[in-house]
Amino acid sequence: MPLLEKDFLEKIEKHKGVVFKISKMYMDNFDDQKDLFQEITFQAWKAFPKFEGRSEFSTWLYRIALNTAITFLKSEKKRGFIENKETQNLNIKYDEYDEEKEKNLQKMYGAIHQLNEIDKALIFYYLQDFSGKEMAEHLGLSEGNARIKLNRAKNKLKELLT
Amino acid sequence: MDLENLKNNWKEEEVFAPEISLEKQNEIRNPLEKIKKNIKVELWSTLPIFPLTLWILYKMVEDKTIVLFASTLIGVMFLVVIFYAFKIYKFYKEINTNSLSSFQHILEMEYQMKYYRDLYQSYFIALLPIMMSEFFIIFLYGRKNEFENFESLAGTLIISMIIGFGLLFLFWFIWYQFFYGRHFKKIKSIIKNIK
Repeated sequence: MPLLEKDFLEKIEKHKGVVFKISKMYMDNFDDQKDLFQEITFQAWKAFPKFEGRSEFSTWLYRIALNTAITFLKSEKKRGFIENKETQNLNIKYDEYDEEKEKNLQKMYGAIHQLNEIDKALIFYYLQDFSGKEMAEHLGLSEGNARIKLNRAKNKLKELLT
Repeated sequence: MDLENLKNNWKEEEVFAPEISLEKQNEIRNPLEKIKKNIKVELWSTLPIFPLTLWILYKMVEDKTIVLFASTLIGVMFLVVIFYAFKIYKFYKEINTNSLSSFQHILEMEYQMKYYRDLYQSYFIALLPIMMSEFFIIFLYGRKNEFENFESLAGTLIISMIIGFGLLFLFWFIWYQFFYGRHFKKIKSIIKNIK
């Protein structure tokens, strides 16, 4: 395996859980989530030779992941609902299964799916503890505007959760 | 549910991500790439029109001078298709804007989409007069088309031109909305949300 590919795979392995969470935020069925995850890794791999290490790899990766997710189209193929069982089986370790936590997570993703693409990105940065300044830089907004938009997105999410 | 609780749930959630694959997916899921692919398919699917029109021409028109003139028009039409194919492939080099800020990335995508849309529209407009001329030649000089006088010929031509243009534009408009317009709508709504 070429050195660059090995380096990339080692780096992305540590963050693939968060990248898959982004896919879960943007797509509401397991097949689309898998497809988005694959597209993100492909886009990151394509851009990797230009990664200069001026920021953390994770920060760079999340930006690519969100930019890919924002414009990603849902599949036009019809999906069978039976496949949803696969999602549950893959997402939860049986021995650590916590019904209430799982319910909350499902509720959370259900609410996030109703937000627009930009609000989803803002909520992701919020959940990952990014500062207002970092959010603004990643989204290409002024810091003040990013904070206002984040507050609106949080309020929308709260409403959807109640 | 409190948002701080939500944050904790998010952080504690353990997901089992699929295997990492560095391969490109077969299905295109990006609006810009969809537009590029649709235009390329449309360009190449124009090619069967050339032999078909030539065949109709040789079958329907007896006058060899007219056939020669119409064949020259088909040659010009072919050159127009080649010109646009060249323009599209020239611009088709991959520009990866994913590592830019989201706003810049979306604006860059919108710019590229607009470029392709304009190219596509001018391609359609460039082909239209040639296609109409071919239609008129076949219509005027076709073996079975004989007109009693100039008035009936002019009347038939004008009516067929209005109906022909109308139907062509209507078809093209529906086609455009289905294959291109909806992708523009998505990008515009994202830009509206980010501003």
